[in-house]
Amino acid sequence: MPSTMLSGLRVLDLSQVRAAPKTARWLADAGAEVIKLESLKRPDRGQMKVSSAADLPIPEQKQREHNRTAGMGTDQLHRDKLGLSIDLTTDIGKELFKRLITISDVVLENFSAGVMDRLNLGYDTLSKIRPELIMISMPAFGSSGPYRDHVGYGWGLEHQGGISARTGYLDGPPLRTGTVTPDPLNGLHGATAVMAALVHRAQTGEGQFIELAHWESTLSLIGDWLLEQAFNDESEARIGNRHPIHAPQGCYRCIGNDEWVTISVTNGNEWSAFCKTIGRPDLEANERFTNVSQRRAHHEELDAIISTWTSSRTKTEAMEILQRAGVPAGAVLSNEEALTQSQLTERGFLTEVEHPDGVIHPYMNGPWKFSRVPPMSVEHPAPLLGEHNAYILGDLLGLSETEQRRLETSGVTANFSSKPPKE
Amino acid sequence: MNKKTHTSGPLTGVNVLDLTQGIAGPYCTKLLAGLGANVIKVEAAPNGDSTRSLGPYVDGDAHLEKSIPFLYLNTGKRSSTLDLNSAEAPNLLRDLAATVDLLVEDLDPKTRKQLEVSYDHYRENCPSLVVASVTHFGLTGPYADYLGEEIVDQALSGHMAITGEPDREPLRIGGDLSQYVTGQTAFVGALMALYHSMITGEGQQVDCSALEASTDILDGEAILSLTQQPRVRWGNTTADSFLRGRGGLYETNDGWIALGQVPGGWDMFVEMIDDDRLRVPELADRATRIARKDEIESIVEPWLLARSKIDIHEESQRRRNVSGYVALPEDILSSRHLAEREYFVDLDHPVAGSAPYAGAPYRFLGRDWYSERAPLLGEHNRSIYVDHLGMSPAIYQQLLDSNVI
Repeated sequence: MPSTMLSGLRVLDLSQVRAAPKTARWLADAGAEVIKLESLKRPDRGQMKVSSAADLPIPEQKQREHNRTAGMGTDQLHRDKLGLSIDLTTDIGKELFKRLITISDVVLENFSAGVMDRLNLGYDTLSKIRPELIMISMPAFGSSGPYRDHVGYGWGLEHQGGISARTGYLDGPPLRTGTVTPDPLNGLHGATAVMAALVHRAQTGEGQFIELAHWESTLSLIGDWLLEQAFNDESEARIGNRHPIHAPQGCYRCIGNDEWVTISVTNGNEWSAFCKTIGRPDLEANERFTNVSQRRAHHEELDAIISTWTSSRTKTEAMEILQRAGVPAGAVLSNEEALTQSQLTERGFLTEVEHPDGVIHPYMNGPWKFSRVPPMSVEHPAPLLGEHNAYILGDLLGLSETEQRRLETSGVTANFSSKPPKE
Repeated sequence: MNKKTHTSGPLTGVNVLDLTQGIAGPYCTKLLAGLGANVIKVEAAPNGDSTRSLGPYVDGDAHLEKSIPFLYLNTGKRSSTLDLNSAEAPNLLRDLAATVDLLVEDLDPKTRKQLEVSYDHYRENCPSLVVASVTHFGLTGPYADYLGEEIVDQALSGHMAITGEPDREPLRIGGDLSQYVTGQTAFVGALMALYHSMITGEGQQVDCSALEASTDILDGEAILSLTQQPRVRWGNTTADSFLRGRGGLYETNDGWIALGQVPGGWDMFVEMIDDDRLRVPELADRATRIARKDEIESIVEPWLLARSKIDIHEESQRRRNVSGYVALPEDILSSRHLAEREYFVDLDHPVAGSAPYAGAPYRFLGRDWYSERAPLLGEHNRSIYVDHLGMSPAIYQQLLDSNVI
């Protein structure tokens, strides 16, 4: 059973790749009807992996594979969305879009700055049709300023957003993170903004326009670091796996190939418990480690002692022993281990859905538990291009089958089996 | 200094009781305050939010009002104090909860139980209240009593296994991203429930954990490990560099830059470097470039080392090619783009002094973001307990005298 938290709301998702689609995914998770709008000329880049018109045509089967499995988790990002394909560069396409706006609540887009205005589909136009509309635009650097036209990809923002500068081994260069971190984080900020706008609308009936510049959104998540520099004219550099203040903290080798446990001792009580637990009560009395500044000064020596203890245990054993003793510790889990660990399976974090082609795919449910509404769950896999044209154009907008066929013949609408346009 | 007068924020009129400390919960309520909500922070007497006692501090001075993370994470809130171990605490919290729409808490399991902070406990008095619990691992499950930390959350959610060099130990992402993500996620869950409460009149309990929030942001990369092949650590080598070698990160005369490519970007790159040795047809082929990476790098590196990272970045972007310089805080604070967009907001604090703070993560057209300095410990005790809650001044004085407040 789907969540009912946002049922009755309709969302038009014009966004591509990962960040803004994540915003829309959360709204879909919570029960909103989310329509993912693409065109055959401009399918979602994250979805299709189309780098140039020369890559077209995409055979149906190839597209199905892409939609279901490829890219940056396309299927995760677009599950429970409906697929609509309209060419917004045509007059009829624009007209259909405006008709959809009259029955929609939220519009999301992340085109380059100014694209929606050039299509004459900017907020000024749309809010005249539907004053209570909530629209969120997510350009990389915002609609103003010297970088407004810069190309912004998540991996570039990871560097420009200050994340890589702080990620790296003590003696090494900046490193990127395992995922393109800014994308989902900016998607989450988008969801906070849309939820605030929805709460406001529930109270006042008023719509809203929101601009989320990815760079600024990313920087808000390192605001404490920026403020350190502003106040003190210096700021924490790369510290590997250490903690900026507490000690010891690190990632230690365990039994097995590439098996590790993380440990973080954050106060005197934990230090005392830690020393006893690893069978080294003598460390507590050792003046080289009595307080946190001593432990920081002799961190390498401690790391060697800790590794001796962890290297004869499995990562799970080490974690469990330390946690039982009241010391923060966590095994370094592979993505597969992370998704299937008992804490998540017991809380129903994973779910499985059978695709139309008979393949069962796992999905992460929303990262919340609500006491009064059913747990979130995934109902449908990601849509194919234009998969739900008939429902949206026919049932919602009232176009006859003949009209729908005419639109498809003239290339205004398309679906996953359409021949691509000649460029 | 941002001198705009406030009109109202999208959450003006929403009242929030904030029983959180550290990073995750406070980031959630910082966003609420920025959007105009009235956020009443209850800090444990005598020392308040644990972050007040954790640096880095302004000028290295370990003072409760000079903790830099506290100053950033608590803008726009009002502060009251309460001895959570006092006999009066559960009832005072219940009374305060009855005055708000949303309660956000991150108490440890024992304190949560002792203070009876839950929707179930409050529902009789305030059925429409939303109670959002922010934890490391969740209110239920085998890890419910485990202790979390940023590095532990990153390890268990699968981030560390895929961050770092393949031949070295897994690496923590710098900063406190798991905590911030948890704050964002808690915000969304809390406001979904608040929206639901406004439509139906029914409040509820929201349970949000750092483990689930951090795992969720891995999106398909996590799921692909179940259906295809497990991800391993790639170091920098997956950056979409023009060579895809050596990490895509190059040294300049003042730091690092990642050079990437949009479709057709190689030609634009060659024009930028402007060296005939690169203008050879064979190098138009990506595979050839990767095979001849050392040769290309020997041409490109001196060019890069003679220039600054931001100059290179701006020149590359001017040619519509994609790049990203490794920004340090000083680069961000002095960015002309951010200055023109007035991203930073100067705030003056009576103890810590004045500094530019990172501003709103997004902008609502025609509405202001509430950026006001973080509160002093207990600064708003009287206005919260007497004016807001309606406590008699005599009882307020009694509680103050007995150190309950």
